[in-house]
Amino acid sequence: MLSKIWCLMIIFGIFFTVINGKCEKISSVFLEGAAEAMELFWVMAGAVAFWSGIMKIAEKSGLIKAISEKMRPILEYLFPDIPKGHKALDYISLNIAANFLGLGWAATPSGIMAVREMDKLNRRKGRATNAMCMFLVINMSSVQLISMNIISYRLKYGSENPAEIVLPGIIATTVSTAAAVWACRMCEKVEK
Amino acid sequence: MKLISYFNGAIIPFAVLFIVCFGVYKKTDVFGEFVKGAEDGLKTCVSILPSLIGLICAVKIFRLSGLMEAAGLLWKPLEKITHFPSELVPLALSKTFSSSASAGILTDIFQNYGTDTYIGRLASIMMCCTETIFYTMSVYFSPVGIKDSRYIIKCTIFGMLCGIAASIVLAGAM
Repeated sequence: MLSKIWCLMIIFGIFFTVINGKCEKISSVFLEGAAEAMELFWVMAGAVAFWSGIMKIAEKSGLIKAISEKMRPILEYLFPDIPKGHKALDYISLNIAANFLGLGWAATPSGIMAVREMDKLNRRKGRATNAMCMFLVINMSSVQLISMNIISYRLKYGSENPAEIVLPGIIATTVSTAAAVWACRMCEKVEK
Repeated sequence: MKLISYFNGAIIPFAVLFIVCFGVYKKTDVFGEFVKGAEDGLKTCVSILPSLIGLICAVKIFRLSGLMEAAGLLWKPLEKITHFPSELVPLALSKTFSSSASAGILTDIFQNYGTDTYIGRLASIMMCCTETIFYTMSVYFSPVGIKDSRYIIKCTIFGMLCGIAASIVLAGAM
């Protein structure tokens, strides 16, 4: 799926850029994109490595187990296919907690580890399991307490009350998460 | 406002402090584990890098092509019925690819329409519930080589549309 989308973006992108008469910019845009990815990589590598280290401490000290124990009822409902006490559940709960608090860089390593653990239970490699689908759907539509970026942009552009969107934002993202989880459940049942 | 930014600024130091103290309390080899974890983290980042390069290049050329603006123009006739301004179509579309691209579009909207208008508020609320679908998928799935993502995109876009509908109602009520 991602591969198809990627091809479509490249093909349509080049095609319509040529039609729009910006042909000469195409080669430089690819180089810029690659350079931008490298820049992002440096930022990301540092942040992800730091948080992975911190997470490892939390894992070894048993803190993560304690958090996932607290979230067990929700996790059991969302991920019925993952056996109780499996490591994947620990990482999933960590990822959800980090996203909720807006710790994006801490969420990334725990999310990757969660998918890795779930892949160990995967009988058809290369194809996402039900649990992975549910996890990605929740992760992408994650409920975030405060979207600090947006508030700071609003402040910068002279909003009278930059934080007024916090509560509506939480409501909107809760709606989107609930709808996405519901849709995911439906698809699970249809597509065995 | 002050309280929110204070709270937000306190989360990271508190989380790190708490985790490290808890580790010391449980007699974990704190620094040793940190190093092991950081090494794993670096390896993961390297495994993501190739797909990151591919994705960002694709997003760049797609933005340059002007297709997102064209989608906004196509939306124009539906503006009145849906209460969703066509100016926000590129914002919603770009957010599904990358949050840094959409941040630029968001600030443009604030500049042109103000932050405390219907458009400004709707854009702000919407940003909370639209998701960076393609970026997230490649980051999480490329390290384990998942190619068939099944119904994930469908479900997420459905959730996102519901979220946008809720944003329209909420922004209208403000």
